[in-house]
Amino acid sequence: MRLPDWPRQRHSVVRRELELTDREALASLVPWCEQFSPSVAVDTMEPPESLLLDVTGLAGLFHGEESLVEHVQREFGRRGLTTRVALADTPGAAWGLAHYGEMAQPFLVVPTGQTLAELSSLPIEALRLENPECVETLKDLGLRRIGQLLSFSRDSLAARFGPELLLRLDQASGAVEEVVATCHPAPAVGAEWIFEHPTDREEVIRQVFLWLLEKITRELTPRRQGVQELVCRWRGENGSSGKITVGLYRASASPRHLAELIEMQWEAARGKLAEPLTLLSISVTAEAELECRQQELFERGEGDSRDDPRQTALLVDRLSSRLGRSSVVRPRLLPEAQPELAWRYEPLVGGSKRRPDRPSSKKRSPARRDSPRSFSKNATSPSWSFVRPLSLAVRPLAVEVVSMAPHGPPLAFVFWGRQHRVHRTWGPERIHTGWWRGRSVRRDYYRVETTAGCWFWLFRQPGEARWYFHGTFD
Amino acid sequence: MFTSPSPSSQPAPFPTAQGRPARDEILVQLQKQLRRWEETKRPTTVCSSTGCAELDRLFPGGGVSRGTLVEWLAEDVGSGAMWLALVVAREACHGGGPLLVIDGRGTFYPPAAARAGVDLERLIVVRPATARDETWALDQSLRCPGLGAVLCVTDRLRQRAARRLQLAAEASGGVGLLVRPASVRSEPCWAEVRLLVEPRAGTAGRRLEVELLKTRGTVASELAGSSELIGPSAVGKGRLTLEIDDETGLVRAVARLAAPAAQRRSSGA
Repeated sequence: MRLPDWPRQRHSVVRRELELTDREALASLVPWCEQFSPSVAVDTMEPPESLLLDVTGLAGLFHGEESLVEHVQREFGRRGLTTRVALADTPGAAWGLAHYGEMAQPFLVVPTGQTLAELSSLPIEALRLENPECVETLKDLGLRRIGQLLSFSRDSLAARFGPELLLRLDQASGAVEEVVATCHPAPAVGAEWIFEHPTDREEVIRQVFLWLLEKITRELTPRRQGVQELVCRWRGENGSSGKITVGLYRASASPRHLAELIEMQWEAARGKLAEPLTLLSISVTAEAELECRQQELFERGEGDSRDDPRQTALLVDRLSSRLGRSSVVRPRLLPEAQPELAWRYEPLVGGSKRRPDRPSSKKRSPARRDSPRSFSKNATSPSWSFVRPLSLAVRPLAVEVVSMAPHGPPLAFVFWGRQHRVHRTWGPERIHTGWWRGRSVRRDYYRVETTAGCWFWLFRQPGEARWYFHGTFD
Repeated sequence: MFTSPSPSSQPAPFPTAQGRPARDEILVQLQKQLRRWEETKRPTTVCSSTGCAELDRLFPGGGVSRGTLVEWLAEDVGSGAMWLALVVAREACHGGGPLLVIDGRGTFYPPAAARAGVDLERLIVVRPATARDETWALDQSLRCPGLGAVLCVTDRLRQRAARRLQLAAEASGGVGLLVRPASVRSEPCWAEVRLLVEPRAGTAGRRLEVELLKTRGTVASELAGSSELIGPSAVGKGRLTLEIDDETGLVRAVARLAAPAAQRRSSGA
């Protein structure tokens, strides 16, 4: 974004002094801030509380830097936001000055070339050090101002305080370029249809859905974007309204596929709708880059046909659309001893959030073929196949158990009205969770083989006579 | 393709009256032809091993063929049928494509699947609430050519739906493994193979007895005699005892001491 022809790079950091300091709130201001500068970024520090505007070469448009800054501040003031604005050669210096600079006026403009002089009187914190230990060490050594640091040699600074300090110093002074990720939100994509005459004719509504989706995808495809999530709203003749949310596993720009997903939910929603429609609208709430793949002229060999992630993505979309996104999931193991908390389900379809591991990227590597086996080796405790049951009861179920010794294994038990005699047992495996998590859990688990050869997972709480059924090795 | 020896190279499987062997031969020939015709409908005849050579011999193609269903019937909970189906599904997924588990009961426990060697990164779990949704999800998944295998534990599948599922798998080349209660034994079987899994109380590892109830186009009583489809002695009469090593999870067939001798006597006569 920075224009190379402009000799002076100028950055303005607007620090807001009100609440609303979270990232989303700041990001929501970005489109509005584009009236001052085309490239606006949100502070990457935690907690984020500033906006960074690249105003290189823009001062002329506002009759000078001072009036630019005044203008920014005045406009923020009109929105009811009090700001501290600093304008300097580098983003780092501007950030430091906006946060810690002494301002006679509510804003500060540092003339070009005087950045270092201005910085030297600022406290260490103005360097944006993310490592709190480093700041503490510097303070313990009596180094409180940036100016004090500048008197040391670079080598000794790096050796004593790590590379971050030097990097931040260089970024503030301008010796090192800092890359700033500006956010430029794409305009919201959507389309709506107002019926001239309210209608409840199915084929008309279907056609309108398709037409709206075609319009949306025509808008998205030139940017190589696809729909990741869309919301479809309607209004009835008598003012009733409703909406459907459709999420996709993988972004799509195919109107036909999207229409199919909408229709799956539409069928259920239509039942509740008693009146003709006057308005239908579809808006894209999350979009993502389309994955382009070259089409193949000839069919691939048989071995490859299993390996088509696009087909799987379409299936996941269809399943999620009809069954709900919480019903089509991927398990994640958690390092947790209590069996019912040892994993978590994550929906496969989820808004704009990118999944960290995409099946397409993983499939190509031949090493993955061996991973299932290596995984079981890495699993916690011995890699015994039948340590955990394949079916776990939703909650433990009390069962009647005959046991010889008070702390011994079970001899027989009654489950679902049937008596099972125990052939052999393994255990006990004690599972004990910490008291700090609220209700602590202490259980002695036994794997039990009945005389019929069926395997069950039973447990007893030590010190109690009651037994519980927790799963079957189906 | 069939790799089993031709019937003429082997003695008649059981002693019969004059004329019977010829009729049996014709039957076997006809079955072969029938199967060949059936197979042409499928997109592929690629087989994947179940990971256990003896278990493979129970399958007509010498393994789980793509585009087919395999039914695992279990009498009781805790029988181990699902575990066996999961292991076979894991092997079927080695060619690429994720494994999809349809868990209508909501009891599927992924940590145990991970211990059975299933890659959780490539596992999709679908949890339908109603029987209708379950059948629909099963149908949709089997129609998807991108999946490695589909595993479903269900006791609410209806007959008509089961037929449709076989056609769905045929169309896409998917593999469907259905774990069903033994009470459906008497229902017509549309699956390629129907196996009954019965647990046995063991002494070392976990013991499962697998009985071949049906393969496509034949019934067990016809199969029982002909070693043509089943293979050598370890798999006497379409019945097989498997032992699963508790530590390693390896599946191996238990040698049945009495059966081979009996069979040698009967066939060598």
